[in-house]
Amino acid sequence: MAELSAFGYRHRPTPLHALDARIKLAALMAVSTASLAAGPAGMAVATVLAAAGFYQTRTPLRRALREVRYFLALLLAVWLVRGLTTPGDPLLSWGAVAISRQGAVDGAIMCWRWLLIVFLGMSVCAATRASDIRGAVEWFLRPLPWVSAHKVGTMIGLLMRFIPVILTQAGENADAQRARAVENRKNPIYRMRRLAMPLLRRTFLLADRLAMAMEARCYGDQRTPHPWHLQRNDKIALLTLPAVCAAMILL
Amino acid sequence: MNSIEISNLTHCFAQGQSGVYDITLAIPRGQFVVLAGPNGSGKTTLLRHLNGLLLPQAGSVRVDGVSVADDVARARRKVGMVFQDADSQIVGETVRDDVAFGPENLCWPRPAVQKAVQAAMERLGLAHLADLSPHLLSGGERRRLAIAGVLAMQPEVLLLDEPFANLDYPGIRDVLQQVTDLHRQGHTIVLAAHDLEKVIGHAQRLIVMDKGRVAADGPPADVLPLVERFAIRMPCLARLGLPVTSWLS
Repeated sequence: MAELSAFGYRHRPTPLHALDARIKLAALMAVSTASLAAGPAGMAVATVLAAAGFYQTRTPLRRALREVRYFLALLLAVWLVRGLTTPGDPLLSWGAVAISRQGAVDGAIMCWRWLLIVFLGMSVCAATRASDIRGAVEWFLRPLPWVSAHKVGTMIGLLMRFIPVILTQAGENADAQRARAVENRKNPIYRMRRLAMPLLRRTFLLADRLAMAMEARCYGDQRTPHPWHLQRNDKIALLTLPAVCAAMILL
Repeated sequence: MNSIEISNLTHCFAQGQSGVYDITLAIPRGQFVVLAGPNGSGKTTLLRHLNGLLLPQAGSVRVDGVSVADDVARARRKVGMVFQDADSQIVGETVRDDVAFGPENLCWPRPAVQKAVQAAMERLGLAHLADLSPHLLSGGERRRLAIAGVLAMQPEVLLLDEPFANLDYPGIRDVLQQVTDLHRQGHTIVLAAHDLEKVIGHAQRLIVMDKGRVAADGPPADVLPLVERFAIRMPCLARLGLPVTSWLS
């Protein structure tokens, strides 16, 4: 069985978990957008907020960093490129190549922003049931006449359900090929092709069976709507959100 | 009164897949039927007609006197189907969400959905796993979840397609116990299997399918001596001339 992500939903009795999913999603969108216009002081406000949210998920920091290690490597690359390509006073130099002070600061703020958005998103995922996220997305999309909110919601739900299944199948396929000495083949394209073809075949078969099983359980355009109940804390969070965003932009 | 009436049902597939030919059957309410046959004998195709997933090319299937083709939604509500591969049947991100999928599709009011979900989870012993991802369940628990997802829609008939496939001994006993309990509570059970050993001790009727046709039909004691003609293994005790016992005893 594939291990689920550290940021998979785990029920805990915290205010973040109890918050309405629509508020959490709206806060994620608003703070992420505000961070694009925020300076270091505004980012510090958002970071305190994100740290408080992350703490409530009770996810060990080391495990969280391990989950995002590839993303951190990407951020390091972005910081380096930014430092190397932005003109300004040299901070570090190796012959003709130099990292500028301005580039290093710009790159650091950009990486800070991305990291903030990623941690906020992961905290929301860890503190919100997938069905609530799906319901919230449907709720936000409902006013748009050209989008079938119900179908988008179903697709999000199925994606969340089947990612671990497909990862498990990919692991099984890889093990089966290792057992037949695929590692002796050095050509990565050959190995990828041999892994991808059976995995795609299994995934399409699974999708086919899934569609039939959904049909057997009367799946259609109409469903019982998601239950929403705005509590006192939700209203407080909703009123506080614009103030936080304004503080991020204006500070 | 018959729950299901099938008359002259025929359905063939283009690419040489197994179909069903001229099947006529009646299944009384509350009966426990085992549908046996080797792979490709048409068991799954027949089951899919009872739930409206396939519609007859010739003949008819009626559930409680109403043609499935005339009201597919009603047939799916009255006849719940548990598929062979539980993984492809489970669509919810948590156990509770999955059990709620069917009742929500029926547009029941939220309190009715919650009540049905809770009752189905408790009946199948899944209430303590309600917030877990289905991916974290054992094989037996996943099979029970697939049954709970169907039961929450409160069907009268339960179709189970190879429900013991890929299960270990405790998992088989676990699922068998649930199925026999459901039968005791009044559900009509139609269970497709190619290995009779596990379930025949509970069946009231054994239908053998071969090449898309009903090859034998009757009480298990009468039909069991014939099964090896149709590539089905006779249970050990029956082979020794002894009465078949339950795996639960």
